[in-house]
This record gives sequence, C-alpha cells and structure tokens, in this order.
Amino acid sequence: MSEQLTIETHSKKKAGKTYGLSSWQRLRRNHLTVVGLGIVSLFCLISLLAPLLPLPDPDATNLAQRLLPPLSPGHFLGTDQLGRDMLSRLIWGTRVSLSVGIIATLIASVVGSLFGIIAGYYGGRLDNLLMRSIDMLMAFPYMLLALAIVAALGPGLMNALFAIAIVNIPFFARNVRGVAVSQARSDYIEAARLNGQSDSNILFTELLPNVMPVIIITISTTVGWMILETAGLSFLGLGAQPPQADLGSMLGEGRKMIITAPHEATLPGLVILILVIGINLLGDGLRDVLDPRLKSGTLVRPKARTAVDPALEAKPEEKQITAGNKESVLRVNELRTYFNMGNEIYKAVNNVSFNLIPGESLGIVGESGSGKSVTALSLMGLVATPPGIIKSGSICYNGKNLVGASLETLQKLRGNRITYVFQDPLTTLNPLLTVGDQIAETLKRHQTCSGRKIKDRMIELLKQVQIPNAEDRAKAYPHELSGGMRQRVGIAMALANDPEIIIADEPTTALDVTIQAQVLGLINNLRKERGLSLLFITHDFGVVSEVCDRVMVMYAGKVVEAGTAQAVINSPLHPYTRRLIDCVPRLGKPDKVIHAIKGLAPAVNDLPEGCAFADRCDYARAECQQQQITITETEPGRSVRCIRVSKGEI
Amino acid sequence: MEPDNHLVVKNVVKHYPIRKGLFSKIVGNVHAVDGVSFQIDRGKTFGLVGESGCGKSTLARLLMSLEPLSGGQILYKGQDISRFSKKHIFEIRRKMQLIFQDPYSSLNPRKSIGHSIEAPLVTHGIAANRKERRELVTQMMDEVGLDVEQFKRYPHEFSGGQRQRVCIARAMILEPEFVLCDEPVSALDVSIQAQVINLLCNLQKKRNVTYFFISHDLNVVKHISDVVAVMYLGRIVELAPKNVLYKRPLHPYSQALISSAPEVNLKQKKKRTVLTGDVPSPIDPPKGCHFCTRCRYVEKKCTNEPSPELIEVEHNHFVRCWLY
Repeated sequence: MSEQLTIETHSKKKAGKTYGLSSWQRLRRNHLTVVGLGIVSLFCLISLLAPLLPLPDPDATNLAQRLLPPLSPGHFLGTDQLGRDMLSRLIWGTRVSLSVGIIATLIASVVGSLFGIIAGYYGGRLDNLLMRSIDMLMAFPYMLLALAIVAALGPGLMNALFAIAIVNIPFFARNVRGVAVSQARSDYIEAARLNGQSDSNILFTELLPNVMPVIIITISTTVGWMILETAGLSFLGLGAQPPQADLGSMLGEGRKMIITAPHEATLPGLVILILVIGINLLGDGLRDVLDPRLKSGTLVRPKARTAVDPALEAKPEEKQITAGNKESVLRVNELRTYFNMGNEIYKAVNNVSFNLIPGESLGIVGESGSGKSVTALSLMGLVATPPGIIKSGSICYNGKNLVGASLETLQKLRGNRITYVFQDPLTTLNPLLTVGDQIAETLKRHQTCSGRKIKDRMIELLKQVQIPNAEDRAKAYPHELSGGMRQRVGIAMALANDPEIIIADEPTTALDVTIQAQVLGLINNLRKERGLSLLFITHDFGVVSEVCDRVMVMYAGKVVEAGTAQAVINSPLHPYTRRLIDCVPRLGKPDKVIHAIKGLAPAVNDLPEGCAFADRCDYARAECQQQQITITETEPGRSVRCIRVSKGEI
Repeated sequence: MEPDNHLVVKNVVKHYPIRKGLFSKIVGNVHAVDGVSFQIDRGKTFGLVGESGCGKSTLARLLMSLEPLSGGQILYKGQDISRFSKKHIFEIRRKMQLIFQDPYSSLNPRKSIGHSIEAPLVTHGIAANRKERRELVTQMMDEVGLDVEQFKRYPHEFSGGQRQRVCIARAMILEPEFVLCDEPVSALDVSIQAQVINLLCNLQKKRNVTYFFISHDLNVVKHISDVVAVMYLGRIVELAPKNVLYKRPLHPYSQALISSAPEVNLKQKKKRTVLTGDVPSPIDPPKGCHFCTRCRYVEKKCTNEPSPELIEVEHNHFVRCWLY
C-alpha cells in the first residue's frame, strides 16, 4: 500500500516535466467534455457578438408578419405573436440568460465561499452561527424561497438574479466549509499562525488557494442550474419583463401559442436544453480534472485481481509447473510488476526471485519505493489494476503458477492458505462491523460448519492472540480497541483458516515500541507453534533481527542482497545494506556522527542503466552504470548484486 | 534564577473538558498534560520520549502558545510566556519556532517552497526589501542543502526529506533561539532520517539553538539529546542526562521502554521486559501512580496513595516512583 503511495509521490515529483498529462490534456481526453466546451464557447461567442451581428431589433414588433413559421423569407426562424424576429430574440435572449446565470453564480460563489471559508477556519461558535443560518436558508423549499424573494422585491430581471443567487449561497457555503475545515486543521495553517501571520492573511493567501478547486467545481456544476432557474422565474413572469427577450420569458409567451405556432415555444426550449447540457458536460469534465481523487486518470474501482500481461495469462494445461521444488512452499521467479501511469512506466518490482521454505521467516527490507510491498501484494494478485500489471515471472505455490491464475483460484487461497497482515489495522478493518463478526466472516468464507462452531473458533482465535476478555472484545468495534489490540485482531484474521503462509506488511510500524515488542513476540510464538512460513516486510533491521531467519534487501525494485539474517546483518556485502544498517543510531553504541546515505533513491520510472545505487555509493566507478549488474551467489544461500562481488573483489 | 536556564516549565497542566448532552455539560476531563516540570539550558537538546497518547504533542502545543494552559507556568528567559498578550506572543515567535512531524501537510501545496521559506520574513518585517529577503532565503536554502534553483518549485515536486529541509529552513530563517522539533524524522525513510538528524545537529552547532526534541524513537532521541525525559500518561516519570538514563533507567516504565526497542544485534539477544496490557485512558487515569496498572513492581502503596513526586535520586537524575 505505502509503496504505491510512494510511487505516486515519485510521480508527482516529476509533475512539472513529464508526469502524466496536463490538466488541459486530461480535459481533452474526455470527448463529451470537448463537446460541452464546444457548445458553451459557441453560445458565449454568439452572445458576445450579438450587438455586432446583422440582426433585426429583437423588440421591434410588426403585427403584419406575426407568427411566421421558420425558414420564412427575412425571418430564418420565423416570428412570434407580435411579429418579432425569433432568431434575433433567441440570440439576445441567450445573452440575457447566460449573463444572468453567470453573474448569479459569481455572486453566490463569492458570498457562499466567504461564509464557508470563514466558518471552516474559525470553527466553534462562529461556525455554528453561520452554518445554522445557512441551514435556515436551506430549510425553505428551493423554488418557493426564490419566489418569495422576488415577490418581496418585485418582479424584474435584477431581482430574479438576486433571488437565484441567494438561493444558491448554501451550496457554496456548505461545500467550501467542508474542505476549509479539513484544510484549516492542517499543519501548514498552523505553521503560518506560528509565523505570526494575521487571520485575514492566512484566510486569503494560505487557505483560499487550497479551497479554490472546490469553488470552481461547484461553480461549474451550478451555472447550468442557475440558467434553468432564471428561465423558470422568467417563465412565471417574475424575471425578465416584456419586451425584453429572455429564454424563459420567450418560453412562457410561446406556451400560449403552442397549438398554432409550436416553433415559438419549441425553439427557446431547445436552446435552453442544448445550452444546459453543454454547460453540464463541461462542468463534469472540469470536475474530473480538478478533483484530486481522479488525478491518476479515472475513478475506477480496482479489479479484483491484478492485470497480467496477456502473454502470461495461463492456459490451463501450462499452469502446472513440473519441476516443483519440494523444499519451498512458495517460489517466485523473475517477477516484474509495473505501473502504467500516463506516459510513464514505473518498474516497481523489477525481476525479483525468491524462495520461501516451509516454516521459515523471510524478511524483505527496503525503504519506501523499493518495491517490497508491491512484491508482497503481487503474490496474491492484490496490486491495484489499473495502474498495476504483472509483466513477467512466475509465482509457484503447490506446483501451481499463480501468475495468470483465475480470480477464483486466487480467492480460494486468499485469506485461507496465504493470508496478509497489513500495516494499519484501523484502515483494514471495517469500522461498521464488530471485530468478532469480521473474523467469523473470514472463517465462513472458507469453511463449511455451523454458526456455533464458527463462533467458538472465533473466540479461540482471539484468545490465541492474547486478547483479554475475548468474549467481550469480540463484540467491540475496531475504533473501541487500541492500536495493539486491533493488530492482534488482524493477526487473528490471518490465522483464522490455518494458513501455510502469512505475509506481514510492516505489521508493527504503526505501533508504539512497547506494543511492538508484544506483537512481535506474539507473531514469533504463533509462527513457531504452527510451523508457518512468514514473509515479513519491514524497513527496520532491528525488527528483522528479532523475527527473521533469512532476509533480502530491496532497492529500487531489485533485490540487492539476500542471505541469512545473521550473515547479512553481521557482515553486509552490498554497500547499500551496510549503509542502511549504519545510518540508524543505536542504543547500545556510543554516539558518533551517523553516516547518512547522500542523495535520494531514484524514481523507478527513470532508472539508470546498471546499478541503481551507484549515484549514492562510495565505491561507485564508471562500469557500475554501464552494464546490468547480475546477482551473484557468494556462498550457498547468500547472494549480492554488486560489481565488486561479481568480479570477486570482496 | 540561573541565567543558563533558557526555558523553565513549572508544573504545567492541560485538561480538555469532555462535554456531553444538550447543554454541553462538562462530564469529565482528558488529563493530557498533568503537572510537567523541567528546564532546558541554552544551546542544549532536551529529548522527550513517550508513546502515542502520552501528551507529548499537547505539551509541544502548550510550549508554542498554540493553546492556553490549564495551570502552571512556562518561563522563557525568565518571562512567563503563558500569560503573554497576543502582541507579545507575536514577538516571542521570532525566537521560538516549531518543526512539524509531517513534511507533507506542513507546507502549503499551493505555495512555492521559496515563498514558504520567505513568509516569516515578510510577516516579521525583517529585511528592508524584496531583494534582501531573497538573499536571506537563498542563504538559508543553501545552508539546509537545498538547491537555490528550486526556489520556484512546489512542494509536490519534492520528496519527504527535501520537504523537511524546507520546513527546517522556514523555522530557522528567523534565527530563533529555541526550536521545538515534534517528531521531525518519524515520517521519513531511515536513510533520509540520518541526513535530517545530521542537518539539525549541524545547525545547532552553528547557531547555538536550543532544541526541544520529541520522538517515540529511542534511538533518535538518544543520538540527538543531552537530557532525556520519559513521559507516561501526561507525566514525566524519569528525567536524566541521556547516558545515565539509557545505561541505568530507574523507573520501571523507562526500563521496559528501553528494553523494548528492537536492536540490530544477533549475537546476543537481550533480555527484555515486555509490558502487558495497554496504556489506560487519560480520561480516567489510575488514581495513584499512572503506571501502576502495568508495573511489575506494583504494591498497595502505588494504587492507593497519590502518585509520588519527581525526586532527584542522584545528581540530575529524577524519578517518579515509590521504589526510590
């Protein structure tokens, strides 16, 4: 999980240059948005040019030529009941409707956003006061309120405009407040306060730019609605007053002639329809571009199984791997998992092979972005697709290749034979179900036995992970438990179906040290009792020496060193491993300047040829980056990916 | 008072009322910080360790005058800053700065990093004009190891470690005398952590700043601090020069905490005291010693009598426990 996030940040790092698509490109990719944009720009252009176009006076009556049908000579779209030119009235009417809609939106957005941002920033009483008055505004039926306002102010286009604007203030206020509340509590606002910036300064220079996208999204989705409402008021005779042309009032006038001259009502109706559709299409497109959740492309639910390169989609008969190694429960060979984002390929896992022996505990160590979590998730096809795809390799479990295996096969294994324990149990447990129910759910999915038995087993599991008062705690919701307790529940779920392999992805990173010690002890004991194989992902060599028999160190998607935990920790051969161990200050050791690793890990979409660590390495030389460095076995069970080793220098 | 004492904290208390019901009646208090006292000397680093929920971040907010105290005093160079007016707080903030834990949320995503670093100079009216300000910013960027070319870049273009450098630059540009670091390296990768720690150490040497360094990571605290305090459930349970504390922790909680830290060492597995149970809720802390629910040496006295005071058992070594 965290790995994928890092890839995101890595990708963002390059945003200025190459990452993905610019907002404009993303907007253009959506065809409907382009149609909407076309419609809106056409209407705007025509409205703007109305005074310059060779149109007859829209208000000039000519009773001799009343109700001419469309395509009449001199009147392309015919005339209305007073003999006024329809085309001219439509264009002038659109001009009025569009400008009223836009101005009303602007008024509503400025006032509403101001309300929202102030309420969100100050919070407390002021927030209550402002938002309750907004609520009062919302308590009235929408159109009724507008009617009441117009009734109070008197009919007229300006009054209709104000009415519509006032009615729409709550939408802006509520949307903006929601974002402002969360932003106002973030550290950068606090930092500004600590610098001594005044409240108004913080509001308008720090907070406003960050809520701007929400304001724009709300504007883009409200303009169309506003035009409809203005048309509605005018239709009722409360907006534009005759003889002024406005789409709504034209529709109202045409309604009386619907039998004799259907074009008089149909044409303005059509114009409203097309205009609002155009605006809404554009608005939706804009929202998609500006909404941060949709940044990576489209809002799609990840598939239930990671996509696999078509060449690897297994044909049933080829799935069996004959040379099944008896000594391993899980054998991973040349696994490559990539992320396709925009025009970039992120090689998160780049040719990783390893073996998991029954009953052993294998650690994968690496920093964020090294590909350790993606490796773990790839095993059960849990990498989110899009953007993830398994490009090559095989994952052999019980003689079966899991790469390209059907979703059904994988689902039978997930939570059953091969289970996961994730870093943050608060986000992996469902907040609406009791923890007991969630464990029972795992059991029910893979076992057929009575409810009674499942409940007994569930309680037994909770006891095994040393949760006191198991019967009572089973009825607790995740938020009622402490972090350590939640992680125990996570472990109980992983143990539920007596798995062969547990994959633990930084299971103790979110926990406090004393709780971490408890949980590590628990994992260690359970594993030994049951002879489980454990794949333990961590960034902490201290934890590795606690729980792992063997360890492999990953850097930029590749394994750089592997061996027994003892050998790797006591005599690291790869410069990266050595530096990684050395750069952590240690309790037992005297203090000296810690030797930090200079520079940053490379982004995995832009890997150098050859060794990825060369830029940060003390021993780097020219040939390091000229060729691919192969991983070399120095002694049985110990291998290192370094040119000095492959040349036999160390 | 000795002139050396840069910051003296006297019996600071912070309670958050819990309100319930229609009329927001106060039904209880969260005892976030419950009588904390210590002092920090100029140019030294005071490390504070504790687990989540022990009140260390609340203490940080109190020291930075981000929240009013419920009781006690905070003396900065002899002045009680907890009673300061807004105007005085504005002035004192030039001298006291904060580095946040999360370098992602502590930078305004819509401001270029140069502007973020420059902002404090603008608000405090330091430097006569734009050109001078820019000069100070570039100097500062150079000092924390940022490329001056990156002035106009936005935070999302940087990695966590670089962002934390930006935050450090922003805090240091006012040339503060006291910098509070609230878990400044916890969100970073280990190799980057080391870079940032070294940077902080170098800046301290150069500028003689006092650090108040909060972390849950015992290794990091030990590396950077001169004096270390261990906090548990709103109270300091032990306080000593770091070498003393790490070598011979006296409070049972400190002992457990130090022995729980995983160590990179396979040759000799250390014997550890693993604590059972969880930290009690600060809404309803145990009556006597706060640690009595998890302590190995618990006696009747611990639960029945009010908690012992923080006493000096040997030179500069303070413990809050009936054992001593």
